[in-house]
Amino acid sequence: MARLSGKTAIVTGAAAGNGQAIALRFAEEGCNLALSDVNLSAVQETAAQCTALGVRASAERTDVTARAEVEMMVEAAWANFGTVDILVNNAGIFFNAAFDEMSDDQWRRMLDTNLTSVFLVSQTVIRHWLAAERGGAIVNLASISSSVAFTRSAHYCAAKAGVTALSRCLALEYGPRGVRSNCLAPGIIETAMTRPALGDPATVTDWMRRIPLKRVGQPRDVADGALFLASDESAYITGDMLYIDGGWMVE
Amino acid sequence: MGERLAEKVAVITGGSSGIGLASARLFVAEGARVVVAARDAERGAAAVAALRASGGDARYVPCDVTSAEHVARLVETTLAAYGRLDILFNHAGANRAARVTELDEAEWDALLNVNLKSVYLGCRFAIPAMLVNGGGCIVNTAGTFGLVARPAQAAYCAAKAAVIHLTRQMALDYGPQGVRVNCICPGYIDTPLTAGVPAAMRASIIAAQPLRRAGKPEDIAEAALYLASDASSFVTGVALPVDGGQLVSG
Ligand SMILES: NC(=O)c1ccc[n+]([C@@H]2O[C@H](COP(=O)([O-])OP(=O)(O)OC[C@H]3O[C@@H](n4cnc5c(N)ncnc54)[C@H](O)[C@@H]3O)[C@@H](O)[C@H]2O)c1
Repeated sequence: MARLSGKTAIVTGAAAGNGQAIALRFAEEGCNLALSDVNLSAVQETAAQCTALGVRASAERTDVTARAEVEMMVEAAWANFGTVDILVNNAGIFFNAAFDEMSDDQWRRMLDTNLTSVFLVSQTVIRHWLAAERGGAIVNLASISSSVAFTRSAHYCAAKAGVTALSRCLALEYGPRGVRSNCLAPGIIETAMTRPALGDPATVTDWMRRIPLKRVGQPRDVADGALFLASDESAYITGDMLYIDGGWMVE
Repeated sequence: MGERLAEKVAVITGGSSGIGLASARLFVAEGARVVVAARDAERGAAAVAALRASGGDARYVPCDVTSAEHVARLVETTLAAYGRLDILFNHAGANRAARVTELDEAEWDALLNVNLKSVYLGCRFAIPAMLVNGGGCIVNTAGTFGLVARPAQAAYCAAKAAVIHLTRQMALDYGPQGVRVNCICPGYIDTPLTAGVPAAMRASIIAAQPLRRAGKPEDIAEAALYLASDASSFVTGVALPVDGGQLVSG
């Protein structure tokens, strides 16, 4: 039996990597999908793959840092599907920058894309849910960077820690009205975001020393966690952060 | 019937009632062969009869989880019956509310034995059996009381915190050999264990939780299924609260 049948999910940043894997995994479980990304042609390709799995899927060009675009995307999802049950805040970026050299623009770009986006999309969706007097499930892509430090990543770590704190607050504030909000905290997952670092043997050796399961994760691992947190299987879970990190956090 | 645990053999301690039984039902429905380990033979037999009636493959093994001899025999019996062991759900546990100054030494030992030593014993005997298959999966029941302190829960809080940390420690030791170790931290769940909680206290606990309801055994069973299945194959060493959001504000 399909685990999300009859549901509709918004997934941001669904053109590639974790977002694409989440979309496809949800589609396998019968979920209709309102997909978006700044990369329109690639997110259209994800939507086509979802449709081929037998669900309805739409693709929009949406920059999650722009309120007007976010509002249009959420409106379109409601109009197309009549309902939204699940929101996956996945869109995000990563780039290295030493703190003493970080420009205002780099800081703002990171915080806008990885944290303010979660504010904008969640607020827009929650307003719809409150107006419709219904709840829903939010899954936010945090990171082990929410909890541990990485060099040349102060902007990313601060943004992801912000996502974790924001997610807990939404759990507290809107839990009584049926909204659940949880984070996934991936460790090292093989996507475009980590591919440059995964090309460096010294980095990989260091990472393998830190990962008890002795491998990097695949987007499918993240997607299976998202499925659990988005489905009614986790109906009693809110305000959590689920690490999908091969055990990185234990030490 | 689902297939999320197809071909797997699972042992569930405390599997004859409450959360353990709900988990046994779900695991069987997802294709696992389940060994219900419990002390009470009558309840164990009844649980297994119900699991078989639903079309599942299950058997009962009498077991006091504080006895090394019993737990060793539990693993041996499982291997004899099914030839392998993939999943161990260390769920059995017990509580008596008391402050340190109200616990005599024997009570302290008993609470630590049933909540903590039981996890050591289960892992001590199950992990070698898992390593023969190239890996396996352990799910321990800790509790939100292992993450935050609560009044008059001295031994229980200490034991559950230790279960969480032992979970992390074992994840580190056995991860490279393919054994994942995770734990669940249930919040307030309606089970025989909490049946004696006064109604007013239950109501005030629920009112303080964002989701405003008590948990059901099935809520924990679903988390155990996720952690026991290949869907979580990159997850190890985690403590997963299933608590209606109780912990978000500490
Ligand atoms: N890969 C990892 O190891 C890892 C670890 C922890 C967390 N994460 C998180 O997972 C999420 C997805 O990352 P990924 O690894 O799949 O990376 P990715 O680069 O493969 O995918 C990110 C997607 O987000 C889109 N995107 C970027 N900026 C956007 C914007 N302003 N508006 C809309 N879409 C935008 C990109 O076009 C891309 O399709 C991110 O939030 C990331 O921080 C990844």
